[in-house]
Order: sequence, then C-alpha cells, then structure tokens
Amino acid sequence: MIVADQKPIEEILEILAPYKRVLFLGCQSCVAVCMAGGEKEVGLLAAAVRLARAKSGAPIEIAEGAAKRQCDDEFNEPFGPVIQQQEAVLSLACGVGVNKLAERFAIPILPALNTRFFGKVERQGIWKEVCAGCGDCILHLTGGICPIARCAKNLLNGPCGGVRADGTCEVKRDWPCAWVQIIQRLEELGQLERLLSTRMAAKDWSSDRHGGPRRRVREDMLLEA
Amino acid sequence: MPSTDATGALLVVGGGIGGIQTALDLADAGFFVYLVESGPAIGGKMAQLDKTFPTNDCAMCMLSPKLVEVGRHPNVQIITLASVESLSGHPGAFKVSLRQQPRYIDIQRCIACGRCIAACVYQEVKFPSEFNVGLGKRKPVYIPFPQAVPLAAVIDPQTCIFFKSGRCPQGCLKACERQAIDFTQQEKLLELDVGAIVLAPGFEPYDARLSGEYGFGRCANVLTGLQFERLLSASGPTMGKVLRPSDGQAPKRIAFIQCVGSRDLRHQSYCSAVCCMYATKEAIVAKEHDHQIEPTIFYMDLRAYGKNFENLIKRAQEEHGVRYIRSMISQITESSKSKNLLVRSYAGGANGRSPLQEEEFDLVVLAVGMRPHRQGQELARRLGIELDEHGFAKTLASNPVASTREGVFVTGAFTGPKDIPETVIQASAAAAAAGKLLASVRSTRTQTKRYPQESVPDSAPRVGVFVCHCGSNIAGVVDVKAVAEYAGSLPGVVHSENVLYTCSQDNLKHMKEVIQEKQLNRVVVASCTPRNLEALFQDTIREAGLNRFLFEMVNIREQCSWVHGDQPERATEKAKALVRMGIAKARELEPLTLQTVPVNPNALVIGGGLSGMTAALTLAESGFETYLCAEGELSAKARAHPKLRLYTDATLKKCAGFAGNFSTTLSTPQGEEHLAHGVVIVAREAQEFKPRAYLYGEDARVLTQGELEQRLRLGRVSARTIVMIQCVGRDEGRPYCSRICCGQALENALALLAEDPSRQIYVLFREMMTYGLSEKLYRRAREQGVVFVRYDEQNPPTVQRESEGLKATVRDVQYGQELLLEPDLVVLSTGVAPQREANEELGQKLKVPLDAHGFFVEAHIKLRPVDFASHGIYLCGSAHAPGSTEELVAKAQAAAGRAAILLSKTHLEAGGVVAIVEAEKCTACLTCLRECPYGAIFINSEGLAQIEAVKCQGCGICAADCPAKAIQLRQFEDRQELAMLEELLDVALQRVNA
Amino acid sequence: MNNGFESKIVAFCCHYCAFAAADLAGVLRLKYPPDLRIIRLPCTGKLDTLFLLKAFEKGADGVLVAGCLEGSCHFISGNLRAKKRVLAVKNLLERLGIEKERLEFFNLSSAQGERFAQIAREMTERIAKLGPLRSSGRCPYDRG
Repeated sequence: MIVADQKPIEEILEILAPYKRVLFLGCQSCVAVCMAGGEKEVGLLAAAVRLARAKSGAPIEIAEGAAKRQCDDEFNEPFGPVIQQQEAVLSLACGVGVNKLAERFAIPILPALNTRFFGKVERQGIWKEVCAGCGDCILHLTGGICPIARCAKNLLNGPCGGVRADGTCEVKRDWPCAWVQIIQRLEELGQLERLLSTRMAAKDWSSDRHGGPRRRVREDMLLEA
Repeated sequence: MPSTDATGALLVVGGGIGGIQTALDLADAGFFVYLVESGPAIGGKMAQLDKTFPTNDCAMCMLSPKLVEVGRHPNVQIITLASVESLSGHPGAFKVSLRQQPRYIDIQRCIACGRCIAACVYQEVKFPSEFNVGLGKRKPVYIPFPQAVPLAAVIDPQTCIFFKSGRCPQGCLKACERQAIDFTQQEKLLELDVGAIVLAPGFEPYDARLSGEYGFGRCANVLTGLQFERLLSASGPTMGKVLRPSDGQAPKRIAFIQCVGSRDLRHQSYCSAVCCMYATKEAIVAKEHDHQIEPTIFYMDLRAYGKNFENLIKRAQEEHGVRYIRSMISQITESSKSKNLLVRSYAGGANGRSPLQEEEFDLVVLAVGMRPHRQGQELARRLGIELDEHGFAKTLASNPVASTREGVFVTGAFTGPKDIPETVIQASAAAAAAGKLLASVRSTRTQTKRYPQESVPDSAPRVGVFVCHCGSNIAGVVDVKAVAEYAGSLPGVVHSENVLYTCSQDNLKHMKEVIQEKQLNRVVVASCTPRNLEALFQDTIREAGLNRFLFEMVNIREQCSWVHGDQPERATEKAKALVRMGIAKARELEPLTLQTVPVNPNALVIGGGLSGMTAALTLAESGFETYLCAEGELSAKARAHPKLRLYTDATLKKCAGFAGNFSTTLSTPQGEEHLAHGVVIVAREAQEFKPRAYLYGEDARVLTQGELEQRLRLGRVSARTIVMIQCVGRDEGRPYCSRICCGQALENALALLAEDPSRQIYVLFREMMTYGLSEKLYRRAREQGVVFVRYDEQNPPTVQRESEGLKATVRDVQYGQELLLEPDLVVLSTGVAPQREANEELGQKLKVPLDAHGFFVEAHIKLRPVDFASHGIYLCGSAHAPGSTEELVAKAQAAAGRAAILLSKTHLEAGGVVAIVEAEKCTACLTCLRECPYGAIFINSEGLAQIEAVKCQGCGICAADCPAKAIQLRQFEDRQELAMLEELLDVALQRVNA
Repeated sequence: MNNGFESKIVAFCCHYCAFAAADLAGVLRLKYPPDLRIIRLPCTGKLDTLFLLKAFEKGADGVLVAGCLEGSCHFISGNLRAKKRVLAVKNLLERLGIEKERLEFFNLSSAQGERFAQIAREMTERIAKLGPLRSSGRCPYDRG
C-alpha cells in the first residue's frame, strides 16, 4: 500500500489560509488503511481546522467527504456539485489523488498529506518501507527481501562494512541490515549457494523514477481501436 | 438420584460473592433460586473491601454489577434478614423452613432516599456501623451501604428508641413520602419447596481480642485488616483517608502483623491463606493514598502461592518500599500519651543480632485470619451435615462441594479459607453439582415473560417524556415542572409530564397507557441513574409493545439534584440541558432486533487428565452429550457414561463458529471426526517440570516428587537419609510458584516416615507454601522430626556426586550456617510447567490467550475465573493455573457448570448493543480485527470486516478507531452522540445569551 | 470561583466505573459545580477522538474523559486506548493554540465518589482560570 503522513497541522493551516470555503476530501483506500486520510481523519482534521480558524477570528466553512478511491474520476464525480461551491479542495489522498482531482476540477486542489513510500504494516501504528518501485525486480534472487528498499545504500552485493555486530544497519539504528536478513532467509531456504555464486550486475536505474516519469501500457486492454 | 417429585428450585444460603455467584449460575441455567441472607443486604465481605489482590482492582466495581444483576434476576428471590430453621424431605424434594426478621421497611415502597434517616430522633449517628466494622457510625434506621441490594433502609430494633422505650416521635414515619415504614411488621416463618440446597455462609474474621498480646480492643490504634480496608475505601468512614482512630492524624509508620489467630495452636491451627496477600495489598494501597506512609509487614512465612501473587510482593518491595520482617510478635504495648504502639518481635538470632527487637509505630493493622462463620456452625447442626475439627464443612477431594448429606452442597470459605477467585470457582462448582442433581427438572420452575408483538415505528419520532419528582429528592432542588414544560416544547416531543415516582407500579402502568394512547414511539425518563432502573423501564415499554431500545434515561438525581442542592437554579438549567440531550438522542434511536441463534446442546472438552474427565462427566451427568478429546492417553481414570463419547489419541485440527454453534474437526487414529457442539472447555493439564539441575537424569538417586510418589506406591524406596529441595527449576524461565509442591513434598515426607520413622528427612525450602488447611502437613512434619532448612533464592543448595555417595550443601538463612548433608536420595520439587508450544497451537486455533509462561488466561481473574473472554469457551485444568486435586476438581466442575448455563438454553439472543460494519465503507484495513478484545471480527468471503453479533460485547473500541468510519456501535452511533453533544452544549449557550 | 462565567464542561464517562462514581458522589450528596455534564459511554474504548474535538468545536470550554482504573476495564483494554487517544488530542490542541489543560483523562473506580466530585471541582476551577474557549462567547458554528 501507499503510506502517507498527514502534514503538520501548522502547514495545513497555512495552506488553507487564503480560503474560507473548502471541501476536505478523504480517500478510503491506501491512506485510510494507513490511518492518514480516511473518513475518520477527514472529520478530525476538519474539526481541528475549524477550531483553529474560529479561534484566530477567521472562520472557515468546511464540507467533508471521502471518495472510495481518489485516483479514479468515477469515484470523485459524486463530489462534483459540492466542489463547484468551494474555493478549494483539501485532498487527504496520496499525491495521485491530488493530481487526479487537479486534472478534473478547475479550482485549487491542496494536499493534506505527505506521500511517503510503498510499505507494509509492521504492527498497528507502525508502517515500514519494503518496496521502492524501481521497475526491475530481483526479489526472486534475494529471498523476497528487497535490498533496494530495505538497504539504506541500495546495495546489490551487500552487506556493507558498516553492519553492526547485532545485525543492524549503520545508517538506521534499530533497522535490521537487509543483507543480513537476505542471507539468513536464503540459508533457511537452502538457496544461499545460488546467491554466492551469482554476482548481481550493476543496476539499470533507467526503469526507476530517476529515468524520468514512467508510464505503463497494456495494448490488449486498450479500448480504442 | 432425585425422585420423581423433584422440584426445579433451590435454596442458596448466604449472600456473599459465593452465594451470589451460585445463585446467578443456577438461575441462568434454568432453576429458580431463593437466595437467603441473614443481614439486611447481600454483598458479604467483598462489599466491604476496598481493593482486591493481586491486581488491586476495585472490589465494589466488580461486585456492584453482580449485585444489581442478581437483584433483578427474574428467577432469583432474595430473602434478607432470614435464617434456615429446619430441613426435611429428601434430595430433589426438600422442605425448608425459614425464619425472617422484620425489617420495618417495605422494600417495595422504599426508594432509599434517606429522608427517614435525616428525620430520626437521633440527630447524630450514634451506633457502630456493621458495614464499616465499627469505625463509622449509623443511626437506628440506616441504609447498609450505598450500593446495597436490596437498596432500602432498615430499622434496627436493638437501637431504635421506639422499640426500646415506645416513646419516640417517629419522625421517620412522617418523613417518609412513600409510606414505606411499618412498625407493625412481625417475624415471619416461610416454608419453601426446593430440590437442593447450597450453603455459602462464608467466614468471619478471627476475633483479635482473643489474642490479648496484640492489644486489639484496648489500644485505639490497633485495627483489623477489614477495618483498615474500610479506612482505605473511598466510600468508607474517612472517605479513603488513612487516619488514626485515636486522634484523626495521618499515621506514618504502619505495622501489619500477620498470622493473627492463624497457625496458632491456641486458636486456629490452619493458615488463613489470604492474609499475606491482603496485607501486602493494603500496604501498597495505603502507600498510594499517602506517600508519607512507611508500611512494615511482620510475617512468619510469606505465602504468595497464587497466580501473580509473587509479582505483587515484588512490586510492594521494589516500587512501594514496603518493608518485610520475618519474625514473631511477642507483644504490642500502647504509649499512654501518644497512643503510639511499641511492637516487640522475636526474629531469631542470626548474624549477631539480638533476637528481640522493639520498634514504634503510629498504627498497627492485624491480619486477622478467617474463621468459619458462626452461622455456618448453626446451619450444620440444623441441617445435619458434618464439620471438620476446625468447623469447616467436611467434603471429599473428589467432590469438594458436596457435604456429608446428599442434596446439600457447600461452597466458599465454609469449606476452608479461600480468596475471591477460589470462592467464585467453588460457587460455580456448587451450582454445577446442584444443577446436575436436578437436571431432570431444569426449567420447570423458571418463568419466561411473554411480550406483545413490537410495533415498528414508521412515523417521525413521537417522544414521551416523564420527569420524576422522586418525592422531594429531585423536586426539592430542581424545578421539575419547568423541566417537564420545557421538554414538552422540544421538537418531536408529543407528551411530557411530571410523575411523583416514575418507578412506582402505578406509574409504570400509567406509562404503558400513555404509550398506547398517544402512540409514543420513543420514551425518555428523567429520574435517577440508569444503572439501577434502566432495565425496568425498558421492560415496561416492551410490555407496551415498543422495542426496548427506543428508551433513553436521563439522570437528574445522582448527577444533578443530589450534587447541586446548593444551586437550585443552575441545577434546573442543567436538568433541562440533560433532558434536552436525552430527547435529542431519543429522536435518533432505532429499534434493534435481537437475532435468536439456536444452541447446539453438546459439549467438547479438551484434555484427558483429571480436569478433563471431571468436566466431561459433570456435563454428561447433567444430561448433555459430551465429547472428550483426550489428546494423548487418558491419564485420569476413565468412567463410562452413555452421554460421554471419548476420543483418545485425538487432536483438535480446527474449530470454527461461536458460542452455541461450534464445528470442530478432530484428527483421530481412525481418521477425521466432525463434531458440532455449543461450548468448548479447555481442560488441559500442565506437567511436572523436568529440570536440568541437581544431577537429575544423570544419577538414579535424584528424583522428582512425582517419581518418588510412584515409587512409594510400589513400596520401592530404601533410602534412609532423604533431602528434598523445593522450588527447583524456578530459575529456568519459570519464576512462578507452582502452589502444590510444598504440600506434595510434605505428604511424601510423611509417607516415608510412616514406612520407617527412623528415616532422616531434610526439606530445603525458600518459603513453605502450606496455605489453608494444608498447614497441618507442615505441623505434622515438624512434629515427626523432618528438618526444615530455609535457603535463599540467591544461594540455592548444591548436589554433588562423590565416590562415597551424594553430597548436598545448603546455606541455612536462619542460622547463617553452611550445612553438609549426605543423602541416599535427593528429591526435587520441580512444580508444574504447561506445554507451551502445544498450548500456543491450541490457543491459536480457538483464539484464546496465553500468558508469558504458556498458561491459559481467564477472562477476569476475580469474576470470571473459568471463562475465556470469548463467549462459549471455558477453561480449567492446571494448564490454566496449578492447583491441588481438590482445587482442580472444583475448577473443572465450575467450568462444566458455566458451560451448562449456555447449553441449557435452546436459543441465544445476539445483537442489540453491538457494533456493525457498513460494508460500503469498509476498506478491510484490519484495524478492528486487530483491536477487538473478544475476537468477534473476521474478514468475510467478500473480503470485508464482519462482526459476529454473538461474540461482540459492545465495547465500541472498533467503532472509535475505524479509519474509514465504517463501524457504528448500535445505541451509541455517531449521529446519536453528535446530537447529544450539540444539544448539551447548545442549551447552556442559549442561556448565557438570553 | 467561576471567574464570572459559567463554563461548559463535557465529561465522557464509562458506564461501569466513572459513571458509577458520579452516581456515588450523588448518593453521598457531595457538592460540585453544575458546569459539568456527563455523556455516558459503554466503555472509554468507545471514545472517539473526533468527539473530543467536536465537543470543543460545538462550544465546550473543557472536556474530561474518565475510565476505569488501569487493569480494571470491564472490556479488557478500552481505558488504555482512551488514554492514548486523549494524549494525542491534547498534543493536537496545543498545536492549534488551545490550552491542552482543557482536556484531561482520569482513571476512576466506581467506589471513588469523592474523587469524582473532586475532579469535577478541580476541572471547573481549572476552566474558570483559563476562561471561555472563545473570548467572543459565541461560536460561529452553533446553530441559530
């Protein structure tokens, strides 16, 4: 899932400063799951902003809503009439949702979240990055543990010399060294030999977002002729 | 077996926690119960306690809901101020006669407003309050305690001037607005037909005046533990402040003296089993109340043998600085000026200390022991049951709740000193045993009420509001007329009126008429706390054809008139705000229908040991088809019963479903077996721990106590010098006390000496946990020459193998010397250890929790000791907690009894105040599933969260945390709460602006 | 003592302990100011952070949440969740420029009637010192 954080309330208030009628639109997808932008957060944030604005003597009128998935127009369409009456929309979706709304509606679309990473729930309340979306997956070689996302240095033939005696990362304390984990895992799978005998080729980063914005096309699913 | 004339009603004697639990279990399982209490209110000793060990939970918080539940149970009749006169007939068809003393107050009419008390000719409280153990005072007319059930005043003829002299203006009579006082009441004789009797007369504290050396009764600042409990209680005579009786000053140095009257051949030779822990609890709680307090506990042996008891002692020492001194008290003397107390103790003469010590204290608390209650002695005589030498009821280890007379059961502290969980367990066990006897007449005496068809409100809200005067209780402060008028002006309200007493029978009838006449579809009552009467009003509107969830109650008495008597105007405004809030919620209420789920009356018991066999047989004999999954070999003696199906060598493969409807697959040597059943009892045992120390397994001369027991049975022990080491393996990741090993070791020691009295036996121990009646083993062992050597946890004994034989060394703590022993046999008390991995596996399949050591964890240590939090799953066996045979049998019976309650119902009602998921909004984020304390939430075939109404307890934790706002707790839904909040705040605002 | 204004304090109380303690305060006829009004929850586990903010938004000057003593929650762990939620909202209030003292969490047993009354008095005094949440005395979001 896409993991996001809510922006600091101070920043949100600053972004909203010029507006008096705003729709707070949440997204009931990834960001609801990671407790940053679902309907619950919309309510909380709206209440907080109303309070702060009332206190500062610049009241704001907030409409609240949550789309099933902001990255598809179809789910945003029902909010069209409401959006017509607003000065701006504060989107509590990931960056995709904000872009999508901005494409569709001709008023300012403001982000309430900082979109962070592709992650998993470690346990309730903790999310960890495990995939970097680099576009060239090697997880079959590394026992399902991604060194690009989980090694601070993106090493392909790690571990580096900085790994601590207890198997943690020198850059991120408390994080296990991805390569220590990979080696342990492959040992369990009986596949360590295979790893030791292959040397990973230098990574082609052009499939990563460093190669510029990316796009995917699936010809057979295109509806136009 | 009961005869064909059996009756499905029972008598329970004693209204303490044990009697209450027995009554509730029996009434819930389809029997009618007469609960007889000798005092004016039920609640017993637990009601007087402030906190309970080892969790330091508030006693009243746990007890009060039970009091209310039993008080309004349709199949329980509480008879107070009554005692049993005689018993005739036979099991199944007894005739009991009761003698009931007059209360001089009509319970039906009394509303416990306290006006009679205020109007009593005694202007000041004058007589020692029984509830406050003499520390507080009361008048001749009084309410036993604020949470009393029945909640009514009582007149004590011993102190009432009218009864004593006949000359009294009887202000109470005039003050009572309900005409509840009746000085003409007479003693009554009642005759009851019952099928069985359960005696739960409980205990009384040892009378400390009998041990003159402690100064109780002479020195003002020497209190008993129960008195100190009242000082600690927030509702006690000092409102929870620890103050000295002599001068009302806060004491600093407090001494707790253990074993007062216990373990004392002059008084009670047994150990009272609870005092070490209650003193520790009181010391901690006192310290929490007032940091200045320096508690010291003088003890002989520190018996912390129960689950998590040792942790509490550790916390007392490390976090609260409680000082523990091992010693015996020779005398306590009072300083005539300061009323301080000089405690003289004898602590042995180790390390060059003087054996006699003296220390001054500001307050002394005597940990008085438990005595079997006087009334129990009298009961035993009248009912013809036998008592042991101490006056406790005689029972068998194989049936710890059966008395010597068939059909008469005994429970709680009447059978020996017990703490609250043991009492609650025994109470359920007694209910199971009595219920088993009367299984054929179950549900013959109970009543199920019939209600008219509910009309579904299809129109807009038509709210009816009833504002109660409660005599002058509310109307004396709040302008109730104005409140009713105001309510009538609010949207949706079609009827609003004032009522003198909303809860009176005539008004309830009137309410029903109004509901029909004005076609009300929501009802609001503004009166007292919903905690007592909400259910009554809900029942009333149900009788009028309304769904009971279309009711809202507003508390304008306890939370308004009674606390704002000095500001009547503001109280009226607040009452308006509260009523307005209640009406706002009422407008948003919806009828909730309960689903009825049929109950499969079969049971599955897991575990082939003593506990499993006992639980399974109890259920089979109670008429329920029972499957016993014995897992490995059946270790208990198998007993056949036509309703019992035994699966040896079977394991539980999977279990799905919920209370009343489980479906389970067992793997058996014959293949898979599919079972449908309504309950599960986890009855696994823990095993004797096999240590890796003291040459165990390396030298044939080193055995465990269990192995010695077997050899003794075969007569194959030749050793002459035997060393027993206690607490072995507790450093190997098992820090808990196994509770049974000290008793087991001493039984073996006595058996060895019985074979050959010239044997030399040494017991090396840390703390001798011969709690309760097993103290006699300790005494006998000492009398017969067993040598006891106390060692320190830091300096455990050693055992070496040398050419000439075994050598054991130990450092004697008491004398500070190293002893060298040359045993022929070393016996290790290793305690019990649960099979952690196997338990974890079972725990996952049943979704029930384990603690850090691998023991299963009950729903509530005090109140639901044999239930899992998940409804329909129960537990017993030593894999829950170690225990003696007697304790394990009682626990197995209790678990079976709790299960029988569910199995005796044809249907379960599910729903009502439960959480529901709005599928449209659910993102299946799993938050609710992770948070639910009851495992009630699962992901359904559509990939969305779904809540099983049967499992949901209505706490609302899921609704509050759902990130998609997809969950609502019925009756507490967001729109309902928001409506309440808006109205509550709005009213105040309007007034400020007006 | 009320500093010239009658404050509005909402108390979210759990059914088994805090609400019962409030009842006991009544039974004992203890006095406390009428500024405080109770909303009953089955358990503080049901306490929604949203309603804490809503209470302030709708015009409360103070909010208190009272659950069972730790370890005594009748629904196992609801009071522990509630405590964390209240802490989170206190932090948020502070960042919104609202005194976080306007919101407080308490653990209460049903036997602590005296403590309930004391909490009610203390909270009322505390809010009186802080003054109304809105100096205008009128919240723009209230109806009418």
